[in-house]
Amino acid sequence: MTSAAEAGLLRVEGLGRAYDDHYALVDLDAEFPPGSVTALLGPNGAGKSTLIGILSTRQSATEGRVYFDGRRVADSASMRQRIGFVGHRTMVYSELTARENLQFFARMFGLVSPDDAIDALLDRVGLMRDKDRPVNGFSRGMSQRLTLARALLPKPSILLLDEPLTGLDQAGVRLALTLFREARDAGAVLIMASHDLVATSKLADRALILSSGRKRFEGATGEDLAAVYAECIGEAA
Amino acid sequence: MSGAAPGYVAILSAVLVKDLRAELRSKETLATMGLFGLVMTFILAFGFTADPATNRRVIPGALWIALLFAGTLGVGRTFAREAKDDAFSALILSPAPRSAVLLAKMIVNFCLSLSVMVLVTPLLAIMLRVDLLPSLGPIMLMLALGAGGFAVVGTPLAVMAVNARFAEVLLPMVVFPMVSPVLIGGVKGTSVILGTTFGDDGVGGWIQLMLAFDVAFGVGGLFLFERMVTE
Amino acid sequence: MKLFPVMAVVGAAAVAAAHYLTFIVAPMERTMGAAQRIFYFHVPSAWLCYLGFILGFVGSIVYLYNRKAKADAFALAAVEVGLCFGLIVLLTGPLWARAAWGVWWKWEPRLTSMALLFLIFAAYWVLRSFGGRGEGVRRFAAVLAVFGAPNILFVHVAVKKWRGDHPDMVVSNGLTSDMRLALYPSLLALLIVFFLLLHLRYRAHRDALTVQAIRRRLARLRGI
Repeated sequence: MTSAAEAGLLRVEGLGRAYDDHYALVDLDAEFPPGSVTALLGPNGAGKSTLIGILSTRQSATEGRVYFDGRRVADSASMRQRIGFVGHRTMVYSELTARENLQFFARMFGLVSPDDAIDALLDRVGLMRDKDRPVNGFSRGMSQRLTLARALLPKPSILLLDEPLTGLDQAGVRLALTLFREARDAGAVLIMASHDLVATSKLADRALILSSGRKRFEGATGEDLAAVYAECIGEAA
Repeated sequence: MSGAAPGYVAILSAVLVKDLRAELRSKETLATMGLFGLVMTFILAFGFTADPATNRRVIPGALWIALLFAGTLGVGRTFAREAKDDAFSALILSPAPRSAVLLAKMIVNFCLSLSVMVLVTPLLAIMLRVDLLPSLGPIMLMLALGAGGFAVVGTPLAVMAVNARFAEVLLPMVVFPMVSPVLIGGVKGTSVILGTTFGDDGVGGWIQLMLAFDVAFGVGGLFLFERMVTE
Repeated sequence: MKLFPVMAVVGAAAVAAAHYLTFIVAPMERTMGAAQRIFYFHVPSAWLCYLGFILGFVGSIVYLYNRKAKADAFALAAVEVGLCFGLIVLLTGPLWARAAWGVWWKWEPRLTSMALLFLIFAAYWVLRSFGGRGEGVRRFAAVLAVFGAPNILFVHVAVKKWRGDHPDMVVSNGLTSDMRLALYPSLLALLIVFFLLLHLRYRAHRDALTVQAIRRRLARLRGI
């Protein structure tokens, strides 16, 4: 049963993750509405990566539940169908060309005749000229552009971004932010963890601030993300 | 363009084609394994050469040691490609059935170690002057079952090993005793084929045992893989 | 908690009683002499070694599904205790072989299987001790135990077939009632010891985690 209020909404309830000697995440309730970008902030070890890991289905929660579209996420495979993930590492095969990488991941997502979409996306991220070169000749920034294309290719409803701007130059950052805005405007849920507060504040309209695995702040933010963060965590952190 | 849940066979073949293409382009695994096979053949020949009758008795052991080492090299290598830029994460974060991914990797490892044996077996036969030709078919069948056993156990463990320190030392230490039933079956079965040992029920019982091992651990691994890769 | 001291006393008494039965009550075996008395420790230890590995398997399966540190600590404790009893088997086995057949090692199927399984779970232990402390290593070890325990069957069949020409050991069916009188109490005594050790190791692993957690919290308090 999908009520109107829940459509496209990603919600976590009582989410917790215990490691052997500590909790990385404690009893977290949070909502991530569609068409919004939530900045996920906090000092190192706050639980940001754990939260993104659980939402991506890479990690399992020891407590609590995740709901998407009003339904409890139980079948991970159907959840994964709708998730795009950008992490610290490029997550592409260096022996394959840019195009072959995208073709491979298109097949992993069961996309039907993806070739036009692949070309369009390669053009978008500025890799059209290099599309038939193996990735091991790419710079870090080019690989990062490719990984953006990889994540966006299946048109995900949830975009999980863990330091997505790593290795990008100024033009690359601008491009990434534009692509993320377009995904947001298409109604996707975006969650972005980054230490780059300046770039994040250009994009995010909400923030979820964690420290020591607990929620310190959740809600809309104005222009001044840095001020909200400083208030919650303190300047030193 | 819409995403439908990708089919099992489609994923299987996509991962196989991807690995094959990457391999043909870099050739590093095949080159290193081929050379390794050659080196090993010489070492084993130096170690075991004796009179013809003795050679016939020791060649099964030499073959199976070669398979064990070739397999170890293979499982480590094929996963290194996935781990390099963490493409493996992207792979298992896709909706593709994870067990299909594992099965594809098992098949790749199986093919790699078997292809090394296709090189090593005739060379060893020539160097040790044992005429394997009349029983080549059954021997390759045994080796294939052995390579299968190694692949089904070694592949998931190699995936897990990236988490540990000293992974390259740990992996053989962990996998060798685990595949000991296959090793025992292979050596003994091969001697039965060569007529240097006589079992109660010939080579059939050994084939059954190895087949059962391959199926049991293959199915078990595929079944558990989802839980294995979830952090 | 109160149960532990009671069981420790009962265990000690049971071990003493088992010794008495083994060395005084059980009859002298005709061909092997005193060395046959190894049997009363050797055989129960082998059973308990398997028990340890099987409990390690159970703990590991549970850990893979719920990721609770408790399950992992239990699996580790069970494997450790299993290895302990395995060591007894592998040390007394050659003594038996020396007395019975005049050689230190005979490729006797059961002892060989035990040795191979010991190697598998020794790898588990080495991995846990030196492979690092992360969650990934625990998962790796759990997979190892889950693959290792069912392998008991395959190893057994393979080794038995391999040494197909060798007759079963006489002792398994040639037990006199006096021998049984010593065997089962000895098993019971070692069973109590097994669970005492299991409990102690489990508690030690749990306590280690608690200490780590407190350290971590202290470090954080000091840092801020």
